Amino acid sequence: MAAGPQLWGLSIFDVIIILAYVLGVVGIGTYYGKYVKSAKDFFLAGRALPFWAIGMSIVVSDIGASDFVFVGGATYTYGVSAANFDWIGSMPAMVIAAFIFMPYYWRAGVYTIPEFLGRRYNMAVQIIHAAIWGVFMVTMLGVIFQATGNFMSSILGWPIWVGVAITIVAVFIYTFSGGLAAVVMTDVIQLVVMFVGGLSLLALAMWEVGGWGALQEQVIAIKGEGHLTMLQPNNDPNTPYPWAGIVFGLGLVMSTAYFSGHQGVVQRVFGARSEWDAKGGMLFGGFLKSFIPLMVALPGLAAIVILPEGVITKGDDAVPSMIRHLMPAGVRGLTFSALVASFLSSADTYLNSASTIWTTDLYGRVHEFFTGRLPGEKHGLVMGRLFTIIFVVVGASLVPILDRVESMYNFIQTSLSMFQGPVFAILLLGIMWRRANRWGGLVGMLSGVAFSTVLNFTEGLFPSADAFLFVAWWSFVFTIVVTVVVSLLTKPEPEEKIRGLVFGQVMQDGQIQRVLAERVE
Amino acid sequence: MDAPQTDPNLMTRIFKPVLEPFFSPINDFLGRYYMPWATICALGLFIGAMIWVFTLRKEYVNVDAPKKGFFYDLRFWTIISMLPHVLVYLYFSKWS
Repeated sequence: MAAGPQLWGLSIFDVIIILAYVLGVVGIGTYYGKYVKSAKDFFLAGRALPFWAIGMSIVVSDIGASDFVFVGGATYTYGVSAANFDWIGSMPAMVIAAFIFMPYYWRAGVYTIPEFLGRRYNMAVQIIHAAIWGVFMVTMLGVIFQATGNFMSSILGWPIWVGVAITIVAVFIYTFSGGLAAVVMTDVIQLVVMFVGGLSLLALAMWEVGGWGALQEQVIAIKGEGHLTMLQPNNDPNTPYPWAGIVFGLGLVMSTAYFSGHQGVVQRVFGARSEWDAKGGMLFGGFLKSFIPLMVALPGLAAIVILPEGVITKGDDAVPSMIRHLMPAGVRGLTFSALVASFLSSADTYLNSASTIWTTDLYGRVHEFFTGRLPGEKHGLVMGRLFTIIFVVVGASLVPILDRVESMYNFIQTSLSMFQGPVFAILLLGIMWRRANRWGGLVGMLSGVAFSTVLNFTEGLFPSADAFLFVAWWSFVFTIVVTVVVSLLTKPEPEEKIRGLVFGQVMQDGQIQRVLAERVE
Repeated sequence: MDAPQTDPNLMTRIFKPVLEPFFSPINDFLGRYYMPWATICALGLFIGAMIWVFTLRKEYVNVDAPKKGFFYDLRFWTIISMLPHVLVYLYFSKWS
């Protein structure tokens, strides 16, 4: 512990750094409010984002609280195989997203993924998809508020509600004011802080254990060679990450679904200033994300060697304990700020994206049903801000309920696996196969979600107790089969409806490319 | 997510007899294969993605690029981003 005056268990210097950081982020985010004049500015940052801001924002939004605390903890408990989520679970998927999905989304000029599915299939697919994601995102907002409250409580000894209140106020002010532009530009700052704090922790941990060679030797001596093996056997009941689940479930389905179909991720790409920036942003994000395991997983591994036995009772305490144990005053404040940054960036992403989906795909469709037209730009902006207020209140009210969930990590992964496989299947078929039609998409998505629910709650079907990796893969395969069969048994979509929405056309047809370019304008 | 609170075995009782005959042989089959197949499959994903990007038309990959040239070619950056992963998976592999 640092010498000198203390406040909440931290030095005054650390507290000043943290407060300056939070106030700085809020100030900069709020500054972007002056550029917001329409729904397009609020939801898509006026379609002016450069590739570097997109890439940095994707990473910092993705690397939330769960990575710093839970992946560090998982590495402590299960070894380097936990890093698969940031390596095989990112880069291949981001390359596929960059070159297959992003050009379509960007050229279609849409605000959301459900909007794109509505154009490719029909309104029912759009509304069901939007409802699933809309509910998930609001729930995730509650999860993040709860995780922030717990984290601040464990480090500073505050009551949980104080941490929740600080997060809500900070995120609400700049998200309400500046929309996506504020979210992205604060994410850029947060990424820099996160990298400085994370790499400082890595450097100190490596110094303490005597370098990589010494760490390797000691981890093998304490935990065995398996702790340093990336791909684990399928028939080992002690690992939640068997290799087939990692390669097929995570590498092919869950990660591709995440980077191609998660509104919070791709909304930054919708706001790109050009198609090249959209693709480049995704690739740059993948490149930056490659460094995350160094900052998150390796300190978790070093905790095995550094922390005396009995200091931590569960893996998730590994990284916070390493911060307390290793960091000098000042650097500790910076690292703590990096963790706060990961919470704020996740919260602002879910808040902005949830309000986009609810405004565009749910409220917009209801408005169209009753009035015969979609809401205008000003109307959309007002509704987007109103939903921002509503979701802050709903997210906060979910905290006491979510506090009773036994394992938050499993809750998130299982929730995602319920719909990511099916949704990705219809997204992929919609883009790659022109014969996929509205009935195939609708029946495929509904039956796929039902099938993944059955797989999730039927015990003993897969070699791992946490079956989400296998559920994602098999629900994806099931949805592909159902969508293909139903599409072939029903009428194809008219050619003019799918023009410009199918891969081969956009790649090879110059006339279609011009139509799409005009649509974007 | 935690198991359903009402009756944790209800889904299992209904669906396991139907689904197990399908999944069990697949689990047994995969359980027999570990190294080097696990590493080969993982590397295949990275290397396959790199090769695939080079099969796309250059104009499609780099449409709207601010300048022409090597450093603005997204295929080059794909390789730069992917290669370290290949090395990491080779390093953290057991080959026996």
